[in-house]
Parts: sequence; structure tokens; C-alpha cells
Amino acid sequence: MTPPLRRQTTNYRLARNSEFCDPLGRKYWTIQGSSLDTRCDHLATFCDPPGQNPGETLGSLAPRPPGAILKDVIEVNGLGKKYGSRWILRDLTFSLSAGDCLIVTGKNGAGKSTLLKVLSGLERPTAGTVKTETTNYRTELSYCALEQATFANLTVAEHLELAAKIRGIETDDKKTILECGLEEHKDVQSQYLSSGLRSRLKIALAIQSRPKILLWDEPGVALDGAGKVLIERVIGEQKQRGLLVIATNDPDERRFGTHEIELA
Amino acid sequence: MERLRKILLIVGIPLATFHSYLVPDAANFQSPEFARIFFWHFPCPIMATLLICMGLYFSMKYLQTHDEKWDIRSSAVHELAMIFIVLTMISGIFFSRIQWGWWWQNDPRQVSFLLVMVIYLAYFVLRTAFTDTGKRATNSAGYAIAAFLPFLFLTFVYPRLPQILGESFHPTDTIMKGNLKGGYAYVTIELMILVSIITNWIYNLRSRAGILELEVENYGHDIQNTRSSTTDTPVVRRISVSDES
Amino acid sequence: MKSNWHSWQTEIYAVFQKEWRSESRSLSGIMTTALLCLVSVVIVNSITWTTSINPMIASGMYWMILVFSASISLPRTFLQEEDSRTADFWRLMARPEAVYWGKALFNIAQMLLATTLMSIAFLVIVKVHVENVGLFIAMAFAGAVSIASTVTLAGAIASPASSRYALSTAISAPLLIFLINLGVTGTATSLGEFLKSGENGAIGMIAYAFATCSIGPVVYSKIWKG
Repeated sequence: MTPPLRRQTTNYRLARNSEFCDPLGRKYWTIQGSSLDTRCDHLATFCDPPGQNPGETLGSLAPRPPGAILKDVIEVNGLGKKYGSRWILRDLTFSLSAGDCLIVTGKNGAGKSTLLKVLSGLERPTAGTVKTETTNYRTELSYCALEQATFANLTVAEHLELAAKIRGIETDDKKTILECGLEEHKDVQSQYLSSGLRSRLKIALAIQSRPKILLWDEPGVALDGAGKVLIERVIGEQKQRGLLVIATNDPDERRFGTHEIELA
Repeated sequence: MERLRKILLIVGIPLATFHSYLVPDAANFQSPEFARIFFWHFPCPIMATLLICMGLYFSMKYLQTHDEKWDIRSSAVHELAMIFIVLTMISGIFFSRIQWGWWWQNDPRQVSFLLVMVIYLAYFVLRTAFTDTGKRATNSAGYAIAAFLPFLFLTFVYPRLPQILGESFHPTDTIMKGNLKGGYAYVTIELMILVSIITNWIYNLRSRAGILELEVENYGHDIQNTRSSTTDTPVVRRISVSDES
Repeated sequence: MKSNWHSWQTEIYAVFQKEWRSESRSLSGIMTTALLCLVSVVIVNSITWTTSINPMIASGMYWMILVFSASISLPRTFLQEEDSRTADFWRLMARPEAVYWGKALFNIAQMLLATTLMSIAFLVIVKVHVENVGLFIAMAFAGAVSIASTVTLAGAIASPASSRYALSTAISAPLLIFLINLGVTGTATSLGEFLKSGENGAIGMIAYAFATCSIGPVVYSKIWKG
């Protein structure tokens, strides 16, 4: 089956493209970007058919493609998480390097958000370990959670000011607000924002510190067309800066992935 | 070792009880024969205090390691401590009724131990409020540490405050100044040893049962994993891309 | 690079400022506390208006009002974060000690304000005479600080639970009972009751507040991610 050509509009250039081949000569998902208007000439099949590469994990797939940053940024080993007596995640092992974008798919309740919470450190794993390369999780790791809310009585600008202060960093919040299309709403309290604008605020908070690792739960929820472009831009920039883990079942978002995991 | 402990308890408890009736009746009591409640009353608050201190240690170890076994141990010693607190209260109330004339005398030590009981009852209420085992263990360990502060104050400071000291019926110099002599001292020591052995035994059983329960649960998880086919185990796959151009 | 002390100050102040901004825009927390205090004072007055109450009883009622209004209203700073699902904002970006200190300082400020208002209302409405003003103020100040620090810790411990509001009151009350005991002794002395070492109450309370403030951030940093 041949997936249709996709036309993409971006205003950035991605660093990595055809260098990404595995030892069998297959190319991984890349976007050949040029500024402003880009035609994407790559067609993606999002996941190998079941059983084609059974047991294949990133950790065992050495050597890495030439040009890729070799150091693992996240290493997950035998990860398990249970709530009560029910195991939500079991025996997950993988590692991700800079430039990777892992798409986590699975039906409702499969543990997609739980995996992100464990990776972010919000939840403690019941079994196994998660190692990240970060030295300061407050600035180098961001988690844009679906269910995370914003402070009702604080404005957009106050949110970013607060986040910068508690993270202990100096940031250009005006630029972040502009990037996320929030300049008209920067003095509006979050309780008066639409859900789409609140999602943009969460994105702004997540990218404010320019993290190495970005964990993103259902990026497209509540966002309009311009919001989708924002997602694309953020993902592209994040791949250059570090890595992403995205929990989604949306085919439009899955195409950004370099790797995929389906949770049952 | 297990058998020796059983023999010691089976023989020791009747012997110590019998011994307690051989010592002469205590002087200056309304019902001297019932002053023997002291022999059973005295080890209870001491054991409760020791167990609460152990609970603090186990809670700290849990927060350090996040190993569920420490939580099981902490929970076990707090449960036992609660049993001894209740036994202290019951034996104390009977003693108060018989010797001092009424069930509840508002004696500072009675009141402070009642407060200790309330504080540690809240520990169990807290444990029931969490469904996630990790959160339950973490937060109850935090509470056990926070509760230790008022426990210390109520047990060691409050009864010895100058304005409180004179108001209590509880003697303060019986043990410290060596006023417990002869047969009374022997029976007290015998029962203290026996109660310690019983406590140790129950604690071992309780914590072992808890740890086994945990292991069975984890074993169940392993079995489940072994039975499931390899394709059920989620793996990260690279996304292959075919180049059309 | 900011110095470590300056960075702690900035972070704690940021948390405090967030609480202050939120509170000043909604006023729900301070209004709830003030209303609880005022209603309690009015209830005490309506029960005792025909009789004059002795310093011991007056002092007991004063502390009951303070402790219960505090244990109901103060844990909000932590509990509401879980309700409105903003707790993860802190867990992802902040240091636990900074969050604890920021919220504890806000609670202490709120409690000091509530205690001042309640004390004035109590003295005016219930008509009790203060013999030793210095001791009365010292007891009120020490009480506000120690109650706020204890309730903050209890709120932090109870916040991840499902029945968090009831639970936080249930676990903070036992931790506060002996504070009432110390408080009643000290305040009764200030109201004219002759008690041995009434001043010890204030010292005991300050010591307890100091201890709670010391262990609070340590305990919170260990439990905040569950």
C-alpha cells in the first residue's frame, strides 16, 4: 500500500535527513525541509507489520546511523508500573538518542500517559529503571501533559514568569509567547482562555526552557490548524535540540516519529 | 530457634504469672492484690515506644530506598504499637478504676497516651485513603516521621513539665531511682522479656506474611509475563520509510 | 550564575507570589478563614452571653476556634493544586523545598492575619480582659506560626489522597491537639488565670513551630512525587 504524498509547510530546516539508514538500507522517517514551504518527498509506513521485526528494541539495534548523536539520552530498562494490583506497564526496555521521536500508541488505558509520567519522573516505576542524561530535570526535561491544568487566576505572562523563576532560568518569554501565538492573550487570566489557547500556553511552558527531552501527551487535542503548524514546528526544533516522546493515536502526529511503540 | 521461643513462651508465661502472685501485696494501694496489673501494664507503653521508634526508622528507610518491604515492616510495627497502646490504655483504665476510684482521672500521662493513640490512629486512617500502594507507602512514611515529633513531646517532655509533674498520679521515681526491688523487680523483668519475645514473634510473622504477599503478587506478574506470547510484549520499532522519489 | 541562596530566595518568593496573586484575585481562602473565625466567635458569644466565662474556658475556646478554622482552611494551598490538577506544574519545574517554603510562608502570613482579626473579634465580642498583653500577643503569634506550619505539612501529606479535604483535617487535628494544650495554658495565664509556667506554652510552641518548619521541607521533598 502506498501512502499519499504529504505536503508540509514549515519555516525551519531540519538537520538530519537521508543519513538515517539502518544496516538493511531502509530509511527512517525524515523531513527534507527547506525554509517556509517544504515538499515532503518521503512516504512513511508508520510501523513494521507485527512479527516482521519481533523483539527489536532500540538498545539492540546498534550500530546507529552515521551522523547521529550516539549517546543515549533516555535508557529504559525492564520498566513496569502497577496501580493497586494491576500492572499498567510491563517489561519495557528501550533507549532513545538525540534526534529520536518515539511515538507511543495504544488504545485507551493501555498506559501511554502512564509511560510519559514515569519517564518524566512524576510517577515512580514499580519495576525497572529509567535513566536520563539530564543533569537538571527542571530545565532539561519538559512534559506537556493532557490533563495538566494551568493556574486559573494567573495570566499567560505570569505563568511564564513563574515557570522561569522556579526553574531558575532567565528566558525570553516574549519570544516564547510570540512563537506560540499568545501575544494577544498574554495579559488574560488562564480561566478566561479557550481550551485551544490553554493548550498553547502548556506548549509555551514546555518549550520555555528549550529542553533536551520533550514528553508530549496527545499534542493535537483542542488545537486548530495554526496549532497543528505550531506542533510541527515545535517537534522539528525539538528533534534538533534533543528528543521527543509523543503519546498519540493521531496518524497526522504519528508521521513525525522515528520510532514507534504500541502498548497493549 | 522457633521451637525454643515457643517452649519459652509456653513455660514462661504461666511461670511468670504464678511468680507475680508469690510476691507480697503492694503497700499503699486501695486494692493491693490488684496492684499486680502493673506487671502487665508496665511493658506495654515501653514496647509501644520502642515499636514507634522502629516505625520511624523503617519509614525513613522506605523513603530512602522505596523498597516496599520497608513499608510492610513499618506498617507491621505501627500495628503492633497500636495494640500495645490500646493494651496500655485498657490496663491503665482498670488500674485507675480500682486504685484511684474512677475509670478516667484526666491524669496527664493518661491524657498524653490517649493523644498518642489518636495520632497513630490517624496513621491508619491515612493508609486507607490511598489506593496506589506506592503513594500509600510514601505518604504514610511521611506522616510517621511528622507524627514522631508530637509523640516525643507527649511521651517524654509533656509528663515531665514542671506544671504537669505534680498533677500526675503516676510515680516518676519507681524505676529511675531503683525503688522497684526484690520480687517486684524480678517479675517486672520476666514479663518485660516475655512480652519482648511475643512482640518479636508477632512482628516476624506479620512482616513475613506481608513480604510473602508481595512476592506472590510479583510472582503472579512474572507468570503472567511468561505465559504471554512474545508479540504481546511491547517493543520499540523503528519506522521504515520507503522513498518514492 | 545566580548564587545558591539567591536562587532559593527567588524560587521561594515566586511560589509565595503565585499564592498571593491567586489569593488576592479570588480572596476565597482568607475570606473562608475570616468567616469561620468570626462565626465561631459569634457562636461562643451566643452560648456564653449571659454568663461571664473564666480565663481557662475563654482560652480553650479561643484555641479551639483557631485550630479548627486553620485545619479546615489552610491545607487548601496543597489540596486545591491536586483538585485543579496544577500540582504537576510544581513537580515538573520546581524544587520541593522551595514549593513547601513558599506555601508554608503564605499559610503563616494568612494565619497571622486571621489570628489578628479573630483575636480582636474575640476580645471585643466575648468580653475577656487581657492581664498580660505581651504574653497574649506572643501566644497568638507563636500559635499562628506553629499551627500554620503543622497544617501545611498535614495538607502536603494528605493532598494525593482521594478524600483529601476530610483526611487533611483528620490528620492535622491529632498533630495539633497538644499545641492546644500548650496554647490554652499560655493564653489562660495571659488572661489572668494563675498557672505555673504559663510562659512555657509560648516557648514550647515556638520550639514546635521551629521543629515542624525544619522537618516539613525534608519530609515533603521525600513524598511529593509519591
